[in-house]
Amino acid sequence: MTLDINWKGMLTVVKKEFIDSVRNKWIIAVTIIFVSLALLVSYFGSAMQLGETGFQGFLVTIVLIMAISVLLVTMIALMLGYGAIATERERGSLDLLLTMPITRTEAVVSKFIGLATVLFVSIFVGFGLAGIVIAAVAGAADFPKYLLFLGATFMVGLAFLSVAFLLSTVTKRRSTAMGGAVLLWFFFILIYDIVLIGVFVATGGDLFTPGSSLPDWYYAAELFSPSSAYGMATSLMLGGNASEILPGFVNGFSTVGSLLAWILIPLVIAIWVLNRRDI
Amino acid sequence: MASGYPAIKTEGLTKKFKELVAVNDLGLEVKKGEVFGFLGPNGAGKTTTIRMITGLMYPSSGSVLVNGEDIAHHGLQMRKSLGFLPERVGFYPNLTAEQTMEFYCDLKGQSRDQVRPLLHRVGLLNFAKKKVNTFSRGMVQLLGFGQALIGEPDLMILDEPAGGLDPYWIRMVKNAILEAKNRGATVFFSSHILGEVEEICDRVAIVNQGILAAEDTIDNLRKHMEMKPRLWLQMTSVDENAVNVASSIDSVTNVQVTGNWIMIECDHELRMDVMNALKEKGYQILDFRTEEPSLEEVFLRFTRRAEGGQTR
Repeated sequence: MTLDINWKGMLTVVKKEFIDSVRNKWIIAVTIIFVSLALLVSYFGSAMQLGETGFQGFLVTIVLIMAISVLLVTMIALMLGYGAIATERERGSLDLLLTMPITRTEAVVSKFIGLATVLFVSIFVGFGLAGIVIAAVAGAADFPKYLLFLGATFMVGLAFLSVAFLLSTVTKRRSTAMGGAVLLWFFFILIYDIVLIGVFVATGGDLFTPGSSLPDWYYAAELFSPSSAYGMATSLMLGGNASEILPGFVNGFSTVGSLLAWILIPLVIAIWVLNRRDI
Repeated sequence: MASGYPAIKTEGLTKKFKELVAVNDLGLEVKKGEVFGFLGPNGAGKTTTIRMITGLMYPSSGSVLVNGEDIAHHGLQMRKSLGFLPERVGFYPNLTAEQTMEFYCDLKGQSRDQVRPLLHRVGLLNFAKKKVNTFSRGMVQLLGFGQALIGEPDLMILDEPAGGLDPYWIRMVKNAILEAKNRGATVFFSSHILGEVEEICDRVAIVNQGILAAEDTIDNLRKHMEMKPRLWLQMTSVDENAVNVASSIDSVTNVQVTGNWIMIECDHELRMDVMNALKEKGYQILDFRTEEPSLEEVFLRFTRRAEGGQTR
């Protein structure tokens, strides 16, 4: 079998997906949200801890942004992706797309790349612009770490985009895909941690005695959640005492590996399902 | 391009949805360069068949061969020379008509130069810069048809191409189909309205409840169904005896009475005999008209059984 990829066709779909997000002002809205979020958080976020306002350096800014970006970026990625296939199916444009001289795999991958580009641009332009302001006021120290953090943020976005694609492929209707996206978001962002802690306490675990710590299995389970993997990867990158609290197997490789798996596996399953599905 | 093979050939094509058999052991053969009408009432399995031929749906069993190649393995090859209009076509609401056509030209690797001429052809040039979400159903259908014409494809598959169009645009669609045929393309299209197909189809297939009821030229279908032309006579009075007189003539297949009109189904050559026989018995003919059997009737005969007498 020869690997005969229709690059031109793929580029056409990638471009269309990206330009679509410009046309419907999605990318602009999201970028503005990211800029203002980063600036607001960096300026006011320290008020509670430090009792003063003003732009903080990048390390503090990262910690402050992360608490919100894990909620926002994952939600935006799900919103971008849940309709990718389901909406096209519902409005009938999927019939035409999949009868063009492009394979189903190429079509899905191109759509994914197109929407990933939307995420990339909004994250790096949005948080990047804010980063320039912060660097100008509070100094450029640790700017490389800020870029690494944005890279991790992009990855968790891709992981949720990939999950959204899978949802969009397996569901029959757009509304089902949307419902599934909402449930998944609540599951990973809120419920997963609560359940893990609950299991720990229910099995006799102790959280309140000073010096007590969470067991290894808890962290192992956290590695299976893309949003937790993102949180742990960022903590490790920031340094501090994270590497002392976290067990040895939670490291750069395992956290980034978890995110990569979450990016690739749902997308591969989505492609597999779509290739076998009746349209 | 492979020659000698039929443009489309289906073998034992079957599609089951749980309990329902939507398409049942369908064997069609569409020759290269012909206009082929795929007819049947709503819900007969036309769209499901078309979706299997275009590779959108997978058959439960059986196969589809395009130019002699099984599309299960050569689907991409088939799509390279395909112009397809799906049933209930849809586009991207944020794109203008022009951007939409450009998108499909790019995907098909075709020049964008044809976008404006094609938009003109389907009457949408004045709306080229308008977003598709402002379009009426008929305009969307026309844009879909324009899209199917991109790159003068060798094979056109059109699912209800006249759906939602007024007579002027149905005429345009018919002309475009005939033009495609004249440059050597094969056109396969479905319809549930017979008037749409009679004058442009080389051959038709009639499908009902997923089963192929007939596949032939329209003339042959008429002959096959032994449908004879009808002679209507208006007489001063029509009684039982007149019916007997008409029925007694050889090869009169059917006689019916409506008021003072009598309908006699027979070949053209017998008409004088019938009229003379009636005159001899003293019946006075006031008026007459003749009626050729239409494809509509052929179609109804094939589908009435299943439809309970009602066909839309």
